Parts: sequence; C-alpha cells; structure tokens
Amino acid sequence: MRILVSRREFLRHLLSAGVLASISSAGLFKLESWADGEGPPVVWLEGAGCSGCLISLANYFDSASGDGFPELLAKLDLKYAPLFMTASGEPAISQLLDLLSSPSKHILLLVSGAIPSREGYCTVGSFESKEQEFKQILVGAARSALRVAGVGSCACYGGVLGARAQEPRFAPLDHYLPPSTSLTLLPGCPPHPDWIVTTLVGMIAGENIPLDRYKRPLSLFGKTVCSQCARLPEKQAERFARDPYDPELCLKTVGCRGEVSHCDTPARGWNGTDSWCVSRNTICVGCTEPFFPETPFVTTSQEGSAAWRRSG
Amino acid sequence: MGQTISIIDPVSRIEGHLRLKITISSGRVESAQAQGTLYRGFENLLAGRSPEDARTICQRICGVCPASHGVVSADAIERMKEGALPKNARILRNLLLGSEFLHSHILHFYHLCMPDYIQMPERSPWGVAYGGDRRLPPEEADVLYSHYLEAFRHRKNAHTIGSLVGGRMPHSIGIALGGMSSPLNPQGHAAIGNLLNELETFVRTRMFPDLGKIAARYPDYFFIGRGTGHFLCFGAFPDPSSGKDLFPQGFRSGLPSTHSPTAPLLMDKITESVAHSWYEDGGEQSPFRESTVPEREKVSGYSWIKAPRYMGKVCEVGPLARLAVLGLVNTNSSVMSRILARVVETALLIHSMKDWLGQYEFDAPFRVAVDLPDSGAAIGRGEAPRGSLAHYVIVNEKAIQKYQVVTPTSWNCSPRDAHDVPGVLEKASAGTPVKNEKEPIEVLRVLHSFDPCMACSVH
Repeated sequence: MRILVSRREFLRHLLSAGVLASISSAGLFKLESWADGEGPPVVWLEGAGCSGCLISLANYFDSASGDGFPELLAKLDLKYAPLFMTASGEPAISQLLDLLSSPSKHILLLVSGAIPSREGYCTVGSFESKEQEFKQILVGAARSALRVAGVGSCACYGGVLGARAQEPRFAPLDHYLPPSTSLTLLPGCPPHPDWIVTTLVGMIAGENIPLDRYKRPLSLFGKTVCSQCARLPEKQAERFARDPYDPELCLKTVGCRGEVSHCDTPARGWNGTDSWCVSRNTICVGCTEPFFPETPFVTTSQEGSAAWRRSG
Repeated sequence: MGQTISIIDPVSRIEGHLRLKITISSGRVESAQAQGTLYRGFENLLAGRSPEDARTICQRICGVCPASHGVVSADAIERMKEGALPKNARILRNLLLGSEFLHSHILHFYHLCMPDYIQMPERSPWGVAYGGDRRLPPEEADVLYSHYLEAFRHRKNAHTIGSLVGGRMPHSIGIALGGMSSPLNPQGHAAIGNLLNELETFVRTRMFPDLGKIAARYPDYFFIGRGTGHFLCFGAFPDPSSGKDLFPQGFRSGLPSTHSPTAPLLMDKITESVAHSWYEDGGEQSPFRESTVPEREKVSGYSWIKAPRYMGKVCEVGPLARLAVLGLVNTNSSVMSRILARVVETALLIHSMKDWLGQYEFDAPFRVAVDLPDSGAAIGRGEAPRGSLAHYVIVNEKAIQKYQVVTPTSWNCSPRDAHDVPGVLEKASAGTPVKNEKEPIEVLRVLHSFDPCMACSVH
C-alpha cells in the first residue's frame, strides 16, 4: 500500500484536476513513466541564428518540482545539439546522417534559425570533406521527423533576418518544408524555455497540440499581451504615456504592440522572476508575431504599421 | 612522411558555425584555416534605421553575449551627445554585463570545454566523441561530471541576476540610452545578493578545484596553442564613482618580454582586411570606411569572418588579454592559461559585483534623458566575455548611415589578412601535436580555449 505520494505524482494530480494553473509547470513530470532516453531521438538543428533560443532553453527551471535543464537532458535522447554535444567533425555529422538515412519517420526535430536563399551562406558540417548546406540537412531531417517544432522567431517567421532587404534573403521553416509536415511554431525572440519544454513534452507524449492560424500552441499564445497586462486599467481609463519609459501609464501611445501580440510572459515572467517587458517600463515590440521586428519600435504613430493593420 | 588534411566541421561546443581545416605532417599541425560558415549581415540591415532601434536589433547578433552588444550600441549613440551616466546607471550596466560574463564563463568551463578533458557518459548527447587522452582517473572524472550537471543551475542563476537588472536574459529589454529602463527595488537587490553568494561558493568550492585537477593532469597545455604575444583590451567595468575601468584599455605587445609595457589604446589603428574573406575587397581600412558586400565565389576567400588588425598586428582578446594589458601576465598565451584566466576572471567579477551592488542607492537616478542625434560618428566600445567589442556608427539625418561591428571572435578567429599573416587561432593551432588525425582532440582543445562565438565573429 502506497502511503507516500511523490511530489511529481501530487503535481500531476493537481494539474489533471485543474487545480494548478497551467502557467506554473511545463509538465516534464508527464514523462515520468518514460525511462530516461526512452522517447524518440531528438535532433536540434541551428541555422542562421544566434543560439539565443538554446540558451533560453538552458534557463529552464520549474520551481515547484526543482526540474531544470539537467533533468530535461536526462529525459531526452538528444542525439544532436551542436552547443552541447561532445562530438565534433566527421563523427558528429556521420552520426546525424546515419540517423536520417532510415526511411521511416522516427525523430523529433527542433529547428532554430532561418534559412538563406543562397548556397554557401549557412553550412553546418562537412561529410567526407564536403560542406553540407543547412537547407539540405533541414529538409532531410524533416523527412525523418514525426514532428517538427520551429523554435524562435527566425525559424518561425524570419525574425530579425527576415527584415533584410539585400541578398541573401532569409526565409522561415515553412518556406522549405512540405505542407504535410507536422509543424508547431514557437516564436519569440527568444521564446520562453517553458514554451519549448511544454511543446517538446507534448510531442514526445504524442499529444495533439491545438494551434492558432500562425501554428502557435493556443495554450501559450491564445491571449493578447494587452489583455494580461497590469496596466490594462490605465488603458481602459485612457491614461496614456508620453515617455517611452513611463513606470505606470499605458504605453500604447509610445508604440507598445501589446494589443496585437500574443504570449503569456505577463503571467509567466522571465528567468524565474516576474519581470517582463512592460513591467520593466519598456514597450512590447511583438517579438512573437510575424511582423517582428517592425521599426521604429518606439513610435507615437500607428500609421502605416503592419502590426496595427492586422488588428483591424 | 606525407601531409594529411583533416577537417573539423561542425565544431561543437562553441557558439555557431565554424569549420577548421588543418594540415598535419609528422604528427603535428603544420597550418590551419579557420572558416566562419554562416553569414547573416546585421551591418547592412541596420542601415536606414533609427539609432534608437540599434541596440535592440544588435543584441540579436548573439544569444550568448547579447547584453554586451546592447550596451556597446547604446554607448556609441551616447558618445554622440554630451553627458555622463548617473552612478546607479553605471552600477546597473556593470551588474548586467557581469551577469553575462558569469553565465558565459561557467557555460564555457563546464559545458563547452570540460568534455575535451574528461570521459563523459556513454549516453546522448555525450557518447560520440573524439576519444583518447583522458588523463583523469574515473573517480575524479565522475566528480567533475557531477559538477558539470550542477553548473547548469549556476549559469541559469547568473542569467536571473541579469534579468533582475535588465528585464530578461537573453536579449535584455532594459538597456536604455542614458542608463537603464527601470531601477532595482529592495527585493531585487536582496535576491541578487543571495545569488552572488551562491555563485561565490560554487566558484570557490567547485570551479577552482576542478580547474586545478585539469591543469595538474594537462600541464603540457601551458605550452600548446601559443598566441601571437599581442593583446588588446578596450576597457570595461567602470567604477561607479570615479569611472576608472576595472579592466583598463590598452595594447600589450611582444610577449614574452620584460620590456613590453602596456601602450595606450589608439582606436584609429584598427583596420579590417577582407583579402581572404568572402567580401568585395575595398582594401585594408578603418571600419568607418568599410562596407560589407558578400562575394561568396571569391577565390581567395575562405571565411565569412573579416581580419581585424591593430597597427597591422594580429592581436588576441579575452580574459587572458585583459590580464596581460593590466600587466599581470608576462608570458605568451596558451590553452591552459586562457582557461585559467577565464576562471580567475569569474571569481574577480563576483567580488566586484557584490561591491557595486552595495553602492546602489534606491531613489537615486538610474537614467538620464538622451536626445537622439541628428548626425554624428562614434565608436561604442567595451569588453564582452570573449574580449574586445566595438560598434562603429555614423548617423546622418536621424538615420543610421553606417554600422560596422568588430567582435572578440573576429580578432581571435580571423582568417589570413592582406599580408597572408594567419589569425590567432590559425597561428595557435600550428605546432599542435596530433596523435590521431581522424580524432584531433588536441586541436579541439586549442580551439575551445578561445571560447569562440561565431555568430558574433561574422554578424
């Protein structure tokens, strides 16, 4: 007879009973019944990006359970992640190509970074001395993938590189992956680690993840930033800021895109604090949206703005 | 005995995309080519934008050291206007940058560097590796591996400090022209103090002894991977009251030598060459006059990294360089001395951050208003975790006309220049003994000692 309930079992019970707000946990304990490394092989590819998404993931920490990045690594069969894997060179790229040579769909693929329109601008390894284009490796990996997640705004919508006017142009994932790909997008610059872990756990557990029209999980991106902001009463009372760093008033009049941006950081907070953009007196720039980055960020006018045109 | 060409690509456990091509003869590296293999073009996408937007966009150059770019970008614009930052603003920026150094150095020592020296577990992502030459006995290696796991929490906590100061890590939202967007409150202040205490204990009881265990087993690495003997520092971590830098700026040349004092830093002696880089060649020139026009088919090119030079010399930057410029190091750099300097700097910064934190005054100003310049030219500068960083900015009619970035890894991992002189990593790789050409772990150790960040190096 079990007298003691483990902390993880207790959390799971609370979550399924709807007692715990889903905001509090990315649900790593859902994989508790899986032996370490039992799930499908996970591959993380880095294209034209800055590694900020993987660094953000390394900041994962769930204070309720004490689970962090090491616990996540222990659970995963993370076959390829250039920032952390021991292998370099031919052993590394051979292992990846072997993994992708199977005709069946058997891996989970996470992709960060955008894809250049020309060859020679982003190569990710050399096999038998020949450079491998990120684009080719990506397309091959997607063919082997049960599910694919785009991580960060660059992979999802082009992000900061999508703003380039000169060649080469940089495109997001769905430009090169077939429409039949099971694709979930986790934008943000960077995305919150909880979003990545929640989605990865869901993918491993074979869950259906309801998505919005931009392929973002509704549970994470379903609400506007504005609707969750502590300054909403100021907006409703039409008390608007003139100073872009105003500590109290609604920042819409200085360019805040909260009305047309979607994520849950106002409730979730960053890095284990309750800090998020507006709470630190800066406007939301809409980094989870396809229009990011729309400059000038700080602006008194919505005229000509793609962001606000969308909201209408 | 013939020559063998060995390619290390991908180089793992660095930030970004690097390909190292080495020529091996008689069991030693004869020559090396360091190749940056990703181009993104930040300098071009900044043209035409408001100077106000630069620091937000520039942070996306790198997700490991974004705050360094953000602060240096703000510094460039601030230099176009009169005025000094208030004391609290200096403190907050020092704490923000300090937190970035701490996260980055812990990440480097444990997660990027250590797997070259200890046998990691068989399971993914560690099982496949260049084997051989792991000299620590299994019991010691197991302890270091447990610290590798423990270190993840501490580097995360360093980012928490950065978030308490600058709103979020990575990609801080709180850097403002003239200071920071929001002040510290007493709870944030106390939380930072507690985290610094935890970090101090970790560095003293884990990082230092672990460094000692590795250095003791690999003393030959104090003589492998020698640099060029020239070192730069652009100055960093100003004292909140006096403005005097913790790491003063300067140029130290010709080490080892007892007669090589630190010379003043002269920014106009910095040039970049693209002779062997995939860009249209305008000749070796100041970044103020440079353009960045990719030319991937260029036959003489082999890297996306440009070749910065100081007075024509190939200079090393980073934690060891900062100590050399301070006058505390009198020998040429090596693999082990670079790693040692990074750990020492981690400890020094924790102490400094505690001191700066103690000087913070609640309710004192943390930002001064800075009007955007209509026109101006300035070089924002500072030290990022990996070394000297500069943003060259020209503003005309309220918009950015030119934006050129020279990063630490541009200095350390540059290709050959117009005179065919190799970059620091290329020079340091030469002479490295290699036991197994298919698994050149020795060369990987040289490479990792520089802690390369490729996203920065090419930008």
